[in-house]
Amino acid sequence: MIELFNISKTYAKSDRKAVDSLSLKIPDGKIFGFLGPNGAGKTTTIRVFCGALEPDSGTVLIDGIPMAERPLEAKRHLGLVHDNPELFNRLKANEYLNFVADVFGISAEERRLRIQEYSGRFGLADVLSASIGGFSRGMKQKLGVIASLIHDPSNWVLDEPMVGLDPQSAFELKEIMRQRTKAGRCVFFSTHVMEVAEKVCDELAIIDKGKIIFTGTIDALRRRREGVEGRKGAEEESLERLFLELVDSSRGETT
Amino acid sequence: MKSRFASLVILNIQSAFSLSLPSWQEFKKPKTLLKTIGIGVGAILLLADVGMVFVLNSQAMYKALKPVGLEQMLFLFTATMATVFIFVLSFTMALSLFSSSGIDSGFLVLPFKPHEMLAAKMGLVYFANALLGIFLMLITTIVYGIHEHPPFQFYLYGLLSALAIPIIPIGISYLILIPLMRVSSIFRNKNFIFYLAGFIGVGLALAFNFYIQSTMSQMQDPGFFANFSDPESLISRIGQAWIPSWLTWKALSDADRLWGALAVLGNLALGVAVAALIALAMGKPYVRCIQIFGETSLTRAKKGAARRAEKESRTARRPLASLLLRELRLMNREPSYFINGPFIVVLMPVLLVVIFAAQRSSLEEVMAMLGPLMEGPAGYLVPAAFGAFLGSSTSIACTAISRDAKALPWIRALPIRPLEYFGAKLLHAEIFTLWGMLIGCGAGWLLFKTSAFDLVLAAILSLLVSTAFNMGGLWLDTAFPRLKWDNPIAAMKQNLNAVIVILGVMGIIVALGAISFFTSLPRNVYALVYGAIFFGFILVWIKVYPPYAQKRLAKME
Ligand SMILES: Nc1ncnc2c1ncn2[C@@H]1O[C@H](COP(=O)(O)OP(=O)(O)OP(=O)(O)O)[C@@H](O)[C@H]1O
Ligand SMILES: [Mg+2]
Repeated sequence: MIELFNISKTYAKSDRKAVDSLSLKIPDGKIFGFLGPNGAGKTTTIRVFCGALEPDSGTVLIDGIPMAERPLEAKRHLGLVHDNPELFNRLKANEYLNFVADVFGISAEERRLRIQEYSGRFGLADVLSASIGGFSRGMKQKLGVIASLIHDPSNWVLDEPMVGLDPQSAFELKEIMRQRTKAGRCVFFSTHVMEVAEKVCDELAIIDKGKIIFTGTIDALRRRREGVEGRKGAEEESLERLFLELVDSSRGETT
Repeated sequence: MKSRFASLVILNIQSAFSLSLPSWQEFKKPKTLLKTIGIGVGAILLLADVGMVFVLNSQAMYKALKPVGLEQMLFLFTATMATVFIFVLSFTMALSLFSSSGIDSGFLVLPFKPHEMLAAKMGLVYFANALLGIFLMLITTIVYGIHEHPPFQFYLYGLLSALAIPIIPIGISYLILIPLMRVSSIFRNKNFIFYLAGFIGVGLALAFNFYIQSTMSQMQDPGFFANFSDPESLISRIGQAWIPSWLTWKALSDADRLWGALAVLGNLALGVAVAALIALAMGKPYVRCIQIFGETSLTRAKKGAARRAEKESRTARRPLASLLLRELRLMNREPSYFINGPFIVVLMPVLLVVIFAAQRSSLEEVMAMLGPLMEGPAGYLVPAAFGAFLGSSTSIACTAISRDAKALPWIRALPIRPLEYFGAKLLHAEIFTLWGMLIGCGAGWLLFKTSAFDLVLAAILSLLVSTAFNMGGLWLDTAFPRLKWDNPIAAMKQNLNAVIVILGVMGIIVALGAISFFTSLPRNVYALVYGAIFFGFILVWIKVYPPYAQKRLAKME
């Protein structure tokens, strides 16, 4: 479970808040989607609660452990897939995975089993001894996914995980998400594609300009629109449109 | 067409040097302002420091040449020296910038002609080296100007000649490098070629050093000039060897005549023509190289490799060991890091042996002369200084955070203790400290038959000094890391922290050497005093740095 209370973050070289008094509770056992247009603050939020960025104010609890006071312990409960898979082109895939496993203190046997399982599922098994520099974008992305699962974290966080994945890998990824939530784990992922969210999420939050403008289930999102507009038959309207209108109307309110 | 080429050059320069001045808005913040002023003052001091060496050099040459009426030879020497200097620098720079970023392959899809791409790359290398050329030429013209009061055109021609001097050396660098890189596609091993070319670069630097040393020693010999009863013959001899130097000499010594103007124009025209020819001839192979470098080989596992991979994944390491291993791999597998970092220090023993073999007789003469000196504190100070210099000139610690800029969010999201993270970086640098110490002591033992006691003193001192500099460098890079760059070389060679540390090491070693030379304390007191100073710094660092670094890591963005 991940809880955020009143998080604000302004980058040093910027004059506006990338994340603005954001509070969010991400429960266990559900696939939680995080939606928003480009530059909305998704990556910033994720980096803040994964301990990669220090918030200006606010509290982060990971399984009840405060990130600010006990960062190492909190981070052990997290597995993060970064938005940019371009890292360490000079390392070999195995070296990269082993580094991550070493950092989490995973035993040799345990890491071997996990690497075997996930590299098999993603079709990377026979390139693990190759240099990451020779990987395609999607292969790097999948390697990042394997690395984030090597310690079997209770909270799995993915920033734009579907970008660059082929249908089969995307399917595998969604399967793993479902398996984990069924086992009572927390899964959180960001995207700016409504369709993905619609197909995968149990719950979602929509962020724009650093502020949450909606949280709830997809059905609740539909109902909310009906309520606001007093219109029937919104079911037929695409969620994409709903999303765009929601973002638009929130912009109308704030500016 | 022109503007397209110019914009490519400018883009190249911006991405390689990551030039970004703070905006006016930011200048209003006192912190940015102070930092900018600080860097500015530091840069001026640095320039003045390096400039002093050349000022003294020019002054000495002028004094030596004036009595024999050959003072204008100064221009010939400066031009030739600048040419060689620039050649060595531009060669290594062209090598490390050859294609280490994805940017180059990005240009491939844009409508540039091959020779435009090569010329733009040459323009990038030219930019840095022209600054150096102007700097060297300026010093000589001013030194000469103060004594001889030449006309105004003299300075103008000096500047224009300085702009002409780097062109051909840069062209030649690419003329050597491109075929070499093309050959690498046969080997299918780019890194090997990088290291080979780096070795050639070091060889050139060494040759350059010998050249300077031999001309300097010849110049102190009055007979050297007597051999040339006709000054013109000497000048024309050097001039025949390198026409741009001769043209520079002509331009500056005939500044008030038409000849001078013609020589300057000729020099520029010659440079541009040669560079254009090289760009035209080598454009296609250059682009082919970039294409090859864009390819990375992906080898699917064969039986043996798979088993090795399996074995690798069965070893669990402690986080610190794993961090250190990662440091070593990332550094040594990136040619532009390796060549500008550990390479020279690792190669030092080889170079030493080469020098020793080549110059045995003259070295032994020097050794004999130094004999009495080495009886004193120099007996342990010299090997210690050598070891300390080698041990702290790898730029590992003082670029440690900058090199990791892109990985920082990743590192921070992992449960890594900040102290282990920084500790691994320091340990990485300390490996070379140990290596430097071994070479320093080894050289002392080999050349001066340093006693065992002195070797122990030298070892301790060299370890203390290098460690202190590694710690200081790490501190500097933690406080002012260079976090935004496209090309890895920006994090390493064009990192101000690396320049500060290298010159700082040289400065302190020279200063301590001078102090030791001009004072006469009991022999081993120097070891005690210097050791205590650096040990003191290390203690302060241990007390102050860890909490600071821990806080700082969280704030880097
Ligand atoms: N390193 C940085 N320095 C300064 N400002 C930043 C930095 N990273 C992001 N920002 C700014 O913070 C805001 C939020 O960016 P963020 O990356 O969180 O958006 P995002 O929702 O992840 O967008 P995308 O869908 O494009 O990934 C943007 O306005 C962006 O310009
Ligand atoms: Mg993002």
